[in-house]
Amino acid sequence: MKLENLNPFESVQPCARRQMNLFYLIDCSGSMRGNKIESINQVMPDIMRTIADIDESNKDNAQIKVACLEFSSGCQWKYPQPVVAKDFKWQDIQAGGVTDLGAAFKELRAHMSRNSDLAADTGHYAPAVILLSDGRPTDSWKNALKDLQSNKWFDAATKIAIAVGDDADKTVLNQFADNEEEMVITVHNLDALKSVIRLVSCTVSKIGSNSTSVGDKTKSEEIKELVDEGVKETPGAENANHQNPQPDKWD
Amino acid sequence: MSELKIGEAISLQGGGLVKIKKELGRGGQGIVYQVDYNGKDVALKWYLKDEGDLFYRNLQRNVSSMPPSSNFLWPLQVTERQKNSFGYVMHLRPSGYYELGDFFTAKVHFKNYDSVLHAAINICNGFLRLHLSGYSYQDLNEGNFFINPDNGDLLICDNDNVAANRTESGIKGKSRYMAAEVVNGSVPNIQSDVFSLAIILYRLFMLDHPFEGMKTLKYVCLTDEVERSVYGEDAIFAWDKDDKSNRPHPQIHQNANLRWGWCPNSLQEAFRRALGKDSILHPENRMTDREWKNLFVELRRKLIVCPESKGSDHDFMVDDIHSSLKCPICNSPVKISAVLKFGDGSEYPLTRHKKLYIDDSDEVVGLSRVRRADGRTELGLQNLSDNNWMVFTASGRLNELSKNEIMPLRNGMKIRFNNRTTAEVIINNH
Repeated sequence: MKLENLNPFESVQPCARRQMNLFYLIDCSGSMRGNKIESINQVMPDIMRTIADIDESNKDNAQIKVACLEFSSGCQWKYPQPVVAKDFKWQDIQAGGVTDLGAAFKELRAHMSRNSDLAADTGHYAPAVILLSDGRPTDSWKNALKDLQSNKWFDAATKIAIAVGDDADKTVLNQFADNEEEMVITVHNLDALKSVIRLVSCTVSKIGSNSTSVGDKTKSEEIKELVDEGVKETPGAENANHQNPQPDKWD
Repeated sequence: MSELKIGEAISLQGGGLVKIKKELGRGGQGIVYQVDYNGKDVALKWYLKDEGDLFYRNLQRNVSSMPPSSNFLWPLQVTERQKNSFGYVMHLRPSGYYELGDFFTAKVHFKNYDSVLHAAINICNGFLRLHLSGYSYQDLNEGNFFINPDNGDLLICDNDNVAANRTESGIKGKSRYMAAEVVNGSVPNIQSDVFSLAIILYRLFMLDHPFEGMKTLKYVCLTDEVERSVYGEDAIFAWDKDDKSNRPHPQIHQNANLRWGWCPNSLQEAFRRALGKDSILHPENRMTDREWKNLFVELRRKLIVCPESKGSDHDFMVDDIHSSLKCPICNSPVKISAVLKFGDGSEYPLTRHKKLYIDDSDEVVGLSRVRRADGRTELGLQNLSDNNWMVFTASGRLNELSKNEIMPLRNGMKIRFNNRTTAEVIINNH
């Protein structure tokens, strides 16, 4: 490269940043109608602002890009490509229809590819996927999940599932989250729903977009610990696999 | 998670209270608040959770010891343990300073190499003093340094994790800035500190990361496992002499590609040594903070300021001041008008706008500038120090130069700057 006439103090490029992709899979079937979907619509713009702040404070650590796939009768991305949190303008979700989770898995698999959403020249950190659902899938999801699990990006991703209420299908959520107990959370009320979406969004954004800590703990383990700690402090939220103690003679 | 509210009072160990005024910023570990302490504004770093006994005791120890140099924003007082956490009080960061990360994102940039070298010397000096007092910093990363881009003035923050050498402070650093053995789980110490220091110094000059290049770009997904390898034992320095596989990418790492050529051979060799394979794998062979400091003091002495530039905007580093010199920015040939030859044989080249530092001191004691007097226009030297200079002319006359006065530079003069440093003026007539 010719140095002549290039002032090193004026020719400054922002240093290359890797990308960290955060995918939301949000159930907007008919059963989510009303307070549940309204709570999500209420909290998401604020979460986007917080993620934008994390992104800004990351300096030349990974840039966070967000994608959101709504599923009900079929599925649909909020934006055709992932966008930086600062530019993610949340358009309210309308609920209605059935729960085509299998279709959502299939669509996510197609996007988790170098030819699609994960194409940054500077490379990526492992992505994160947050799944939120209140019911049982109405399409055939098993093969779709199996296919998704064969995707290397999905395999490397941090996966967290939020069950809204007790009607959510824990089997599918557990399988989605690689049967990592702490990564499947049940929320029993709207405040808990809002708190937990915020908790998991911020934790995966913060840890997932930064260089890994030294020592034995992986990023996933760090996320798991922080999420578990946060869930325990949130009234109305619990690990979905938490077993209530059986009544005994003292009850 | 512990957060504080505006107006809330927090008790300090040893008595006294601080009152929360506003939030200044937050990171993964804690929140920094502006607080009132007896009518004075200071900063409080508050941890999101109680970091444990080990960490608290270490913080108490740091408070009771003196800061290693004036560049450290040192913990002044620890709070009592309360509200499921604790924190410590320090001075507020003055305005005009930017986090080193802001230089990497091109939010701000240095004015010239004089300011980069000034920052580098201050960083080395801070760590040299810290290490001499038996402490290690442990968690060095870009968030710890705040720099004034115009002059290179430096503040070192987050001194809560400073700990006695080879003891655990309870804080774990990020792989991207840590020595290989620490990435693998060893306790940080002075030798791992100097490795992190080399990464910081490289980035100060080059902006890009020393271990990020063509090879690391091939890892499209940087999993934990890959990260611990490419920033650990398998790290390859982007400009490694023998292994060229991780050279900076022509488009993605333009900063490194442009700036490497601006580094004189001595600096390139120092980076190659400090960040090369041998240094990665053998802590005992690492370049020390003292070696770094000596190199930067030398480069600052030999720094060439292009006389054609406005102020000192065009300057460049050289190893040999007697080689044929050309300003790389404006292509003007540069003639060194005068040289100060010191008692130890070192030569200090002077052109218009060049600052004068004595030995490794930070203080700018003089400035080379044009002197117009008695119908003559010639290169002169202004005394910016508080000491009067004794100037012996070639004919043996003695003159005294007080603060802000400018003397002409003429062949054979001898200047005594303080009680121990004398230099002879050599005028270059070629």
